[in-house]
Amino acid sequence: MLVEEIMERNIHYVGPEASIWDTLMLSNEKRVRHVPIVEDGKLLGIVSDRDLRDVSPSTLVDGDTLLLRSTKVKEIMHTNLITVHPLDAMEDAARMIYDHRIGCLPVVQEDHLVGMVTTSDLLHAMVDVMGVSQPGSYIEIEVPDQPGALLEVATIVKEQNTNIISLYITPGKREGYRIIVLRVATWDPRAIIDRIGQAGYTLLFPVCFLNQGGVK
Amino acid sequence: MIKRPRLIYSDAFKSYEFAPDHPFHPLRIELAMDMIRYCNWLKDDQIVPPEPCTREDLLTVHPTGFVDAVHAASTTEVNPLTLRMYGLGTDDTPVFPGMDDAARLVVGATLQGAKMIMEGQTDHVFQIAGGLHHAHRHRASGFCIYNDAAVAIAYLQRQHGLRVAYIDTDAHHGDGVQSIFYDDPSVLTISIHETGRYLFPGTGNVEERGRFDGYGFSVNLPLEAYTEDDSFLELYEQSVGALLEAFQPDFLITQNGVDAHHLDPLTHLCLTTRSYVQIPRLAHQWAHKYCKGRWLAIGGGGYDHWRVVSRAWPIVWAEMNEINDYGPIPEAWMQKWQSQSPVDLPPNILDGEDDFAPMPRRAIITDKNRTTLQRVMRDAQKLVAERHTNE
Repeated sequence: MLVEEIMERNIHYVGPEASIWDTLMLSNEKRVRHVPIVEDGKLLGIVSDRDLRDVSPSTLVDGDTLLLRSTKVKEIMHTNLITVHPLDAMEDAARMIYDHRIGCLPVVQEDHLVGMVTTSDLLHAMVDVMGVSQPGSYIEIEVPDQPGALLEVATIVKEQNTNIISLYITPGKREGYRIIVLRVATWDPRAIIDRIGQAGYTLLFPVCFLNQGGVK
Repeated sequence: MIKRPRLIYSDAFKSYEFAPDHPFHPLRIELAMDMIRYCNWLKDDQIVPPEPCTREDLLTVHPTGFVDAVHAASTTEVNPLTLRMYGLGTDDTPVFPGMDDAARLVVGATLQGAKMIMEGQTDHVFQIAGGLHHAHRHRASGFCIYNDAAVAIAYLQRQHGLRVAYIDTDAHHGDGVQSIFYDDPSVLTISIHETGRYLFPGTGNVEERGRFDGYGFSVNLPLEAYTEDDSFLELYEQSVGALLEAFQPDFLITQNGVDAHHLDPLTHLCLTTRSYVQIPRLAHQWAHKYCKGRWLAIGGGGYDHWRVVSRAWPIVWAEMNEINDYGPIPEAWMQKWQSQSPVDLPPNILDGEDDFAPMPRRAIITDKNRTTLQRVMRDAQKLVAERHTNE
């Protein structure tokens, strides 16, 4: 999945001449943690809600907001920016957020800000990829890390005329193995589970000794 | 006059059969009925034959388009795309000849049970073929065509203005009944089921609590896979009792799916008959405490026909009749069925204490379920009680 498919296009931004106060209000009102500073469509900088709070008076003292109202946001914005392109892959965006320990990536195309990707957007996309938004019968299989295992498992599912809702493969818990996590569109996955067992793969879920009934 | 419990049954229930190898097979009912008879727990005058419901009865819950489609598909070829739209024609819920009549008979029987109780013929009814809790207003799902419990609840609301508590202990979430009454504060639905992470219908999270006026009147307790008796019963006893106290129902309906048993091939819960004794026992007590005894028990899932359904449903009926010495499985039943069974049949109605090895990770599973209970019960009673008194 590409960044352009998961990014937020409706961006809440301010101009460089905006006051810190206005920026803080925008952040509160729109419930966004990162506010980009944009001029003529071009990204100049970014401030986070933490930056804005750092320069705000403590709520424990009678603070004066005058300074917040008179200081321009461009005075405190970060200009050393890490951005992504709409055609970057979702996993690359995740990697950048992780490596740089940041919460959000502005998406820049032809020097213009076209979207924002936050950690929540990435998590949401991941939940979609895992198929959790749709029901399915869950099957977890340990397979040798060799060509052909996935084909064999998928063939078994197809032979039962069943749809796959979602599928992902994780590194195995043991050296030389991988784990295939499948969600299949049937209430009764017994035939699939039995045949996967017969093919010699280890079921991690459901634990097969529980289902002593087998296919009747 | 002693009002003896009634059991709704006739061989006509066998018509609800999707396919010979389909897990929701009427053999389940036959095995359980036979067990009840051979145990000598049923007097002839306790049996009431089911009657089909009318089209008007169905329309109290289901829209005309869906009812017409089910009717049409029972007799003629219907466009597969139309069927899919109504949740029919899938491998799980295929179309079969006579489907409309078979489904109406199940709904009729459950409705009949509610009427018999309201007309004062009896206080307790077991509708062994009922419990089609996955049927939604607009579509069939998960072996369920029409929603029998919902039609009975609609009758109790409209004809008698009653507040109904619906308790669902099937291993699958009672999604159909929940969704049909999702914004209705006169129906309290409580479903205890295996978490939707691993199986259909995937719903039944703690956060599903109803909406609008009905907020707080849908309660869900999703259990971890491999949950055993003690943890299950802890959640059942501590949630349902408190919620009924807050809700003060007039009528109790219990859905008695028995697919949460250790041996069930379709789910991953690990109950034994200990739970299946305790579930109806407490329901029975609650019915007397809150509902003047009005208790309609319906069936549900259960896919180990030979060893689980054949014993767990007779226990529901025994409880209704205050029979509690279960003993060995009658020799005659054993002789009749053992040769046809693909598995060895257990010797007694109840599982032995050591029949099943303890599950690995029992402690952490128990703790997770307890956390779920706490999350649900933090304000569940308050929500129900507040709305109740505000009416």
